[in-house]
Amino acid sequence: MYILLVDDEEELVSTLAERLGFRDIQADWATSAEQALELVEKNHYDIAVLDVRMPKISGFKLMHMIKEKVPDMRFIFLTGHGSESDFKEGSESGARFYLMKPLRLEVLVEKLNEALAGTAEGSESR
Amino acid sequence: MNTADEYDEQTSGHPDAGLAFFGKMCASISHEIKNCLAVISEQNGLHQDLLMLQRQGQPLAPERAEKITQSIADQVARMDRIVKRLNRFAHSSDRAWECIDLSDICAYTVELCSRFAVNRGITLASEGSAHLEVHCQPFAMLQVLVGCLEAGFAQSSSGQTLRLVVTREESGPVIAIMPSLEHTPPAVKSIAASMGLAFSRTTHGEATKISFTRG
Repeated sequence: MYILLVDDEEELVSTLAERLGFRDIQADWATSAEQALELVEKNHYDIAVLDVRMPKISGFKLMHMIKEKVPDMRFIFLTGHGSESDFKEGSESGARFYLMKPLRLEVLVEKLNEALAGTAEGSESR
Repeated sequence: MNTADEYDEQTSGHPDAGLAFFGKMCASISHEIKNCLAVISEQNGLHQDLLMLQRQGQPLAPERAEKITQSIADQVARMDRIVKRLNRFAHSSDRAWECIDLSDICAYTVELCSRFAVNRGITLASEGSAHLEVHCQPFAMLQVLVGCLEAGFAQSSSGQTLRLVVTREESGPVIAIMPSLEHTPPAVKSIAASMGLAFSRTTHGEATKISFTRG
């Protein structure tokens, strides 16, 4: 499994990537939509984990931009609280899961596996 | 919130615009706290992972442990600043009228709105004369200033700078919002009017001015 983590909190995504590496999940990270799009051009990721609220370009908008380049990529969103409008917008856009911050890594790994298998319906995890 | 009209709709349409403003600002601050907690949680998780690897025979370098400890300390300090900002905001609502330093409240407003600005790629700045005090309602004043900045966000594009500049004119203290607002939400004007503040534009239209008719 090869994943892309995108969040403007560098310490969060870099640490997450390292911890996923310990679990044999290869992860790259980006702190902006621009960086993420550059990485998507170069690598083929199975899943992108995106923060909903990022500077300049939101996670939702980034998802649409990535989908134009890689239509089969799957998405998981990270959110601070998960407002109703966020869930609605994400579900309509085809997001598979929402994970609340702070994350539980075992939950992220479980959702990554489910998203990759494509067996589960979209849901939220708090 | 994307446009000044939306701000108007959200605040003036709410049965209690002040409460709506309070809720929106607190929600935004709580997002910032969540980010700090998320980083601390990951650093703690990383420490646990490294300890587990150590138990399996892979030595844990002291520098790694120190880096994690430092990161947690940095996040705690960051959270402390955020909570102080939240505390000041909460107390702004329990004081009816008081003397406030305009430069100080403008700097504080910039701090409060920094997350909204960063999300739009906009830079905020406050400038101006020190110790220009006016008698007003701190919470309502924040509503007015945040409302103005949000109207400014709606007309600005990424890379632009919005400024709050405090000056003294012949008529009294003034806060200039630069560049000038194309649209000042009526709800904001109405709150300002209740404190005796007046909106106008500079002669050449480069700034929107908030004038204090009460000293």
